[in-house]
Amino acid sequence: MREMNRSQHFIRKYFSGISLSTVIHIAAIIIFFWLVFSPVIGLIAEAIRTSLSGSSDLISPFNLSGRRIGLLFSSISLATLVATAGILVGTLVATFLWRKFRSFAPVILLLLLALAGIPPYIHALTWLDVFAAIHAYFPLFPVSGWLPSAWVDLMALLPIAIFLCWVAFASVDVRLIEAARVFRPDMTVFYRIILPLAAPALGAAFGFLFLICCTDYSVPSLFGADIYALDIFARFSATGSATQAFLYAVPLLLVTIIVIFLSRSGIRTLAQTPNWLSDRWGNPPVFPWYYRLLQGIAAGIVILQILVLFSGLILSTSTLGTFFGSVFRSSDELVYTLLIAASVILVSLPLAIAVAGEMKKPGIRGSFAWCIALAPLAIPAPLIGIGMITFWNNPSLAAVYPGILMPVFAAVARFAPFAAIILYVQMRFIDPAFFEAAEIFSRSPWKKWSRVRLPLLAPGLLVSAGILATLSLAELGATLIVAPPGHTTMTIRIYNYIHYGASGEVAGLCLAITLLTLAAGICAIAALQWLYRRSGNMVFYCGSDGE
Amino acid sequence: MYGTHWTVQDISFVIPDRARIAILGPSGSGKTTILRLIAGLEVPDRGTITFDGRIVSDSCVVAPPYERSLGFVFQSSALWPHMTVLQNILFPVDNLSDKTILLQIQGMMERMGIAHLKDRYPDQISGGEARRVALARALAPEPNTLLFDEPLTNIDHSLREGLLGLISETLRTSKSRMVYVTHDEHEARTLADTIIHLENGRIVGTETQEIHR
Repeated sequence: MREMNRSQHFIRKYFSGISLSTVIHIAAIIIFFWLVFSPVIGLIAEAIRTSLSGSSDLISPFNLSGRRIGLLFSSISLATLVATAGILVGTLVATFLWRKFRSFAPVILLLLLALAGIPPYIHALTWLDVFAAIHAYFPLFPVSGWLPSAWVDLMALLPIAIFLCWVAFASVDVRLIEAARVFRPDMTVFYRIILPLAAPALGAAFGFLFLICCTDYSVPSLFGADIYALDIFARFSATGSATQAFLYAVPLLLVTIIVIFLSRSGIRTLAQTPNWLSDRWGNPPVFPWYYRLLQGIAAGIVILQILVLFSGLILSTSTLGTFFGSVFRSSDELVYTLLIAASVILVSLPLAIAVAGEMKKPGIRGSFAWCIALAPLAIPAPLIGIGMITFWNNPSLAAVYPGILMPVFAAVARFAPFAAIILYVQMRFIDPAFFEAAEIFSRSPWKKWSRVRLPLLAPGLLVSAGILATLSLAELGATLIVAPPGHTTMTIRIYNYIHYGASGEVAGLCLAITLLTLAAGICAIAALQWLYRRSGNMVFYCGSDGE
Repeated sequence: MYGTHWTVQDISFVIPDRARIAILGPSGSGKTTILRLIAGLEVPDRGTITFDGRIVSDSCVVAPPYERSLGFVFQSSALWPHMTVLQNILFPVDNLSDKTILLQIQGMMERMGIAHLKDRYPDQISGGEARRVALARALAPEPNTLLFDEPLTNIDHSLREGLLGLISETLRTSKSRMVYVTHDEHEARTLADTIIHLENGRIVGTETQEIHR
């Protein structure tokens, strides 16, 4: 009897205040953690198992051969070069937009952002033709190797670089800029006030570009440039051993984790920048001629990139018949790809809402949520694929392995953190009083969600859905490993075709993927504009959330 | 102009040398816009702004803010967080190799009671100290015109009276003309010899008064 009282007391003390929505919230975080980290958990467990059985050596990651050091150095150099160039060009174009297109800047920026989702291998395809044409006139011009690879990586990342630089500059309090403009020329203000204050966010933008470049092998592989991420995939293909591939990847993982760690406060700054779409410059800045010249060159590079992309694809596809023929012949892959994208959205969004809510929390809970949102960005795509196989290729989980689930889970593991960060941004600008009022005036959790939370979160959800769709359509590194026999995505099909040389078929499929990506991007943009149009009277709240 | 609505219109006034003008009006009356137009932080849709006979803003010319010889005290202080107090104050000064200027600034900081803060960063000083530093920064380049955008808003009463006294004392020894924007009549009457009343973007009255200089 006394025992029963004690257990009743325990339940009343610790569980009486727990509502159904809290249980769902906690379950969503656990599922997010489980899905996003299952590849890493699988790989670590496998490494320990094989080590205990004596078939692998856990010290091996630290025995760096000359070749591995060379590959690591090449990967870091390539990523540093691309990220540095991206920040330089991004800075010049962002400040060009300040000066020239102040009221149109947000629209131009958002259109550029729609281009950001186009897979890098499509850029590679279009630039291959340009390089070949230049090589025909100037034989010394390289058509393969590091330089073409770095250039194409830069071109692929340019829209996101410009966007991140713009947001980084928007993170600087405009009052601090104006206070300096009263006393000093705009160029001095730029160097001494804007750049130092934007430095953490620019650093995060650099880190973000570095991570994408360092962990993606699709472009370097097409230009014959060997990088560490590609070698992880090659090692797994050669040995079939997940543990060897994982241990081989550890040095690269250490580099990417360090970059994430150094960028974390800047990423928060970028995510917390309010109303970066608004034009806050009363009087446009005046830059000296040499800076205007550099801005013009940077803007010219962006225009060139857009021209090469679309003219290359349209000219290679040549006719509408070729375009529709290639799409029709790949209709199975197209349907499979669209199903994956839709499933990724459906699985990721509810989980991302829960994690975004945690990211807003002060103290250790918020920090932990930020960790689980940012850490996956450090994992190279092939390693996620290898880890997925290791974790899910288990007799008790046999139902998961075939069909659509593995590519969906791989994409969720890679991209759900992005959705969490976007929803965090959205939640941060919603006045908490809206939710508190809903708690007071409604008892039904369903009513609170359907009538208050979902409508307020809708713009963020739509933006996240657009970005998840865009990224899922382009996913290659992990899907290439986990795609079950008999199923191929559009991206894998195109990637395989590109290796046999560009043709009308490939260009037609690339054009289809580009149009799909742009459609998803434009939907996201429309949602974003909706968000900002509503912001004046409804969703904007720039108060503290306890951080 | 904001949308289809004129923020300020038909505004015309002259600020003589060493004049102390206060623009007094409720929130949204356009007083900060006038200050920003004078500073060159906004460009007027039409009209002319002249500084000492030189046109700084009309349909053809817009002189950048730093060419207008201004000091500006912002409502939020707007101290640059990556610079120390001394670096903030020295930022507007052109000739840092001139020892006389540096000594003058040092003297000014001592008079304002902020000399001991020179190596601190803005997040290491109080709100009242930040306002003093912002005032010192505005005065450091010895500007022809001093602009104040509600510098005493959002601070408690006793601190406000102290700062009002400091501004009044500083203006007494300064050769600059002043434009002081506020919604507080007490501040306007303490500091200004001319008070311009503003409502809905228009001047609705002007009064002059004797102040002790």
